[in-house]
Amino acid sequence: MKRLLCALLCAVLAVSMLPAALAENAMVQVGDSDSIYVREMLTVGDTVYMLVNEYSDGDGMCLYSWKPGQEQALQLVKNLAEVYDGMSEEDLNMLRENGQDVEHAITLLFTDGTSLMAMNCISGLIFRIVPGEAGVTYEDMVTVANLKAFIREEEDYSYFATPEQSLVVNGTLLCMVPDYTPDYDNFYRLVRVDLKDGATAESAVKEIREIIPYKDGKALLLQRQTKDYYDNDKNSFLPFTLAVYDADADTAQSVGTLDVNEYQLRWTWCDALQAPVWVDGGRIMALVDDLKTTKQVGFLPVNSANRMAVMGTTLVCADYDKTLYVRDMSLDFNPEASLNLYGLYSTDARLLFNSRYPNVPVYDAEEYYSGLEAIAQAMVTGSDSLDILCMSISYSQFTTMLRKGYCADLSASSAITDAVGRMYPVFQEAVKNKNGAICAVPISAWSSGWYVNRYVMEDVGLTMEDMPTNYIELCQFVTRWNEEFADEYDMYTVFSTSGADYMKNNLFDYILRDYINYCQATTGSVRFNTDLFRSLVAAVESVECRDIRPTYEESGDGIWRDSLLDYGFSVVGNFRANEDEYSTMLPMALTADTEVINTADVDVVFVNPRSKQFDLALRYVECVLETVEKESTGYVLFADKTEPRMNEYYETAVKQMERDIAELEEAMKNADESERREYEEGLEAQREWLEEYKAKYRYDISPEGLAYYQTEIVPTIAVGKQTFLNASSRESANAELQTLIKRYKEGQIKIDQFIKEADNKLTMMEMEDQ
Amino acid sequence: MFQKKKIVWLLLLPGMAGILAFYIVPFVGGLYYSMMDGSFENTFVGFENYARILQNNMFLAGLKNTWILSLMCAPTIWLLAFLLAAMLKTLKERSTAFRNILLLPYLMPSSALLIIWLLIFDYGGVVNRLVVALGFDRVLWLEGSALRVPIVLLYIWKNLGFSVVLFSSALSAVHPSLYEFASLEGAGWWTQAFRITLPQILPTAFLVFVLAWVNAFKIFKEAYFIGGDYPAAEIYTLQHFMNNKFAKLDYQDVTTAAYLFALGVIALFALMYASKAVRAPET
Repeated sequence: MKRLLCALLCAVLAVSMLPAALAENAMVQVGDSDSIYVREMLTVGDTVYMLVNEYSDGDGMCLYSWKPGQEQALQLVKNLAEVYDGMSEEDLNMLRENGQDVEHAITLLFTDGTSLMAMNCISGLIFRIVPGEAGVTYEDMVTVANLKAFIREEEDYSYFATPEQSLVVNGTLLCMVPDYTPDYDNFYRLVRVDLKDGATAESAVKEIREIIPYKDGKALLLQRQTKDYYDNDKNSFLPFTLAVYDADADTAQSVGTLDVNEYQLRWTWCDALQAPVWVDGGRIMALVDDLKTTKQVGFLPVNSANRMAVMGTTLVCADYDKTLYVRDMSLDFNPEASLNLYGLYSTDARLLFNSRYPNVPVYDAEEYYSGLEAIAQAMVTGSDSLDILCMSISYSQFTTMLRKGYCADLSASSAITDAVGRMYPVFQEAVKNKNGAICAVPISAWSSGWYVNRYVMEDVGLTMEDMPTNYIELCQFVTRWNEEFADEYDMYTVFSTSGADYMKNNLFDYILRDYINYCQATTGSVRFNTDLFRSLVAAVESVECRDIRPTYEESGDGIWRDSLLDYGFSVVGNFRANEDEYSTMLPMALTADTEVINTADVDVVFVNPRSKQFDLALRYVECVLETVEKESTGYVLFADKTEPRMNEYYETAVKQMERDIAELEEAMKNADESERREYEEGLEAQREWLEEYKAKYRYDISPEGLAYYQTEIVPTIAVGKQTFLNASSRESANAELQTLIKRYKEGQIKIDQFIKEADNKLTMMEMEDQ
Repeated sequence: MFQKKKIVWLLLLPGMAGILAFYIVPFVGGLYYSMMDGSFENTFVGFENYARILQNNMFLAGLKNTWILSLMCAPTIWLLAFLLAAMLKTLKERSTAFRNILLLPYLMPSSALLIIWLLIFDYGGVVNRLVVALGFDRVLWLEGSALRVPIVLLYIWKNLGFSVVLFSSALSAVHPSLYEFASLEGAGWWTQAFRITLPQILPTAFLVFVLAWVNAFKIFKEAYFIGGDYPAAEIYTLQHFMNNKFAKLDYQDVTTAAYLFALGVIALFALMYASKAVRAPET
């Protein structure tokens, strides 16, 4: 019996001593706020501690803990005192009156591996934080002997420079104190604090960029010279120098190099793997084999990490949201499949996919491909060729890729065909190939249009009936403004312009863009030798605008003028019906005889037909569609949306406002007569704001806005295709046409020559494809 | 020799491997692409591409312009080079300096030459001032069909020197006694040039003619620098067509057009070679 009990006890002990490597891949919630920021994260034993900013729900700075197996991080303390160097005693007393422990305010959080510690920047007190049943308690340890080591001197002032990294090695606290200089002579200085007596000194080791714990009581440094750290020939940063730092001797010895992107480097030491680890675009990397070999040991379901902590062979990461990503690391990491994305950055889709396929990494392509040929090449070569791509129909050669069969037929997925089938027909047609097969999925669409500034309009005595409804009228209106309003209302201008000299060119640009969109939407072919175009140009050339004022005038302190009309009102993608607080949408046709066309810029996602993970790629695209449909973009694309979209923050916001009003009312009861009026005014303003909020912000997409979009906007939508106006000027055909436009606008050629040469080029382009 | 000395095959191997890798294989590979539909799946379509390209107006326009420009450039270069080389021969020692001057444009990069050419043929440039001085109206040399003139002149100016050098070396091999005998018989300069000189240097003349024509097909470079991807219709060459098709990933059209053109060029040179064989001088 005794033997059995002993065996059982040993087994339990053995299991409990197993490293937290057994922590499964998981996502853990931190807090209830909609947005949090993890300021610091570290491991003590089997617990990860985090210092978190959680301001949106009023918890302020908090301390959280998490152990493997917990679905949610535990809030240990909230509303921690936040102090800064130079704070007055009055401010400190106010914090004390609010019940905050100023003496144990946390400026730095660090650990020696066995206990959690912190430092207060005002007093220099270093103390232990001991979690308990009812929160935490503090044990004072030592006071920093010389806080000046942390002080940064500027020309007129000085301040406590909060270290960006802190760690304890052999009883010495090492702090990386920012020490940037205009000449970039230095970035950090390493400050050493003896935890026995608080003695402070600055390290003799320089040019340190990063520091983490290492083995055998040492630290690992990344060093790089502060100047000449960029290789202009290779157009990249020079590699870091890896060095082992001896805290006792205050010396560093170089042991190799590490080539990583310094702007994204967040690294930490993993004792279990005996290697430093960091996250590179979703890949968890480690420098193994005694700091010689870089190897991937895991992956994240997101492509970056702001803070990290290691527990055994488990990496716990936080990004800029309220989720912790718990990931297992292994030297044998070798997934059977992975997906490579190009141009697709939806975190929600990535997380959804990861929840369904947790063992399939998803990576972003590291290269940028500047043209159609480069992308086509990347799609067909290499084992890590692109699986899923995202492109804009309007700003890329997607239509060429669709025509040439570079977009796989997605009909194998009923979820995709069903989803696309529920979209508005104009979006469906844009993603079908010549055989009618769905070869891509739209994921966003937007367009802009003209609008009227109602305040300016009313101030100058005009009404909506006076506003132009087509470009011919717009040109006439500009002339009218020049003659009737420019002088009297010189605090305004007719629309955003750099001045009278540029007005006609501005008008020509708008007309040209909308004319090309109109041609593409109606005839499919752009030609300038038409009565329509000539009438538009004639209208522009007849504009009188010499007295039109510019939007910004450099006179004195500078004069900014509001415009009566402007371009930029969100049309597709906006559910505010036809107006918002200041503006009313102004649909603009080309002439009185043409219809209004809203050309939408549409992004699409498609799959590489040669993808080695074709089925997985389809599943990923399904995840993309699911997340898109849930967002407000879904209302832009999907025709079967009939219910309005509620503002998910509405209830929270209303409750908060009602709480604020109740507090004000309570405070007013106890206020002096002299203060009562102020409270009354404040209360009235709050109540008005509450009523306004209830009236206007209940919905993200109101029933009226949705109805307006579906009945007034959708019938006018055309999907924009790449034109020579928005194509890269590296494509020389487009550069020639853009040069022609420039020559016409600069007066080097007349409109007849522009029309002749432009049509010649456009005709040749089309004839080549016959 | 090849049977007796197997080492010869070994020595030829690297060159033959290079020719195989960089000429034969791409040639056959291109033929393969010209019979595919050019889509991602690459479906075999036989000679459909050829039939379609032959009906494409831009291909036909490019082909026509390429031949016209070649016809304008190649014979002109050949004739001018021959005459200049013959004249330089009379200068004897001083001919080297002139030959070097003629060769200079060949050594200069085209982009540098083009800048000079654009200035010269600009609307207010030197050429138009000359035209006005002669009592005519200014011409838009850099636009429309007039653009052929500066392009052809540029090509001739750039490539003349090289042809002159080739002719000069051939002319120096002609024995002077032939000219002495012809002079005694009363033959003038022209008769000597075309009845003695030309037949004696026929292989070189043929080479110069071939090179001039081949280089004339490459006149695209100058046309592209001046006119871009879609220049005036009169200087839109076959290379423009192929370039533009390549940018649109229409590789099947590129290869088809290239092979159709190659057929024409092979036919032309076969004809020229046959003519040369018929007219080879008796020695």
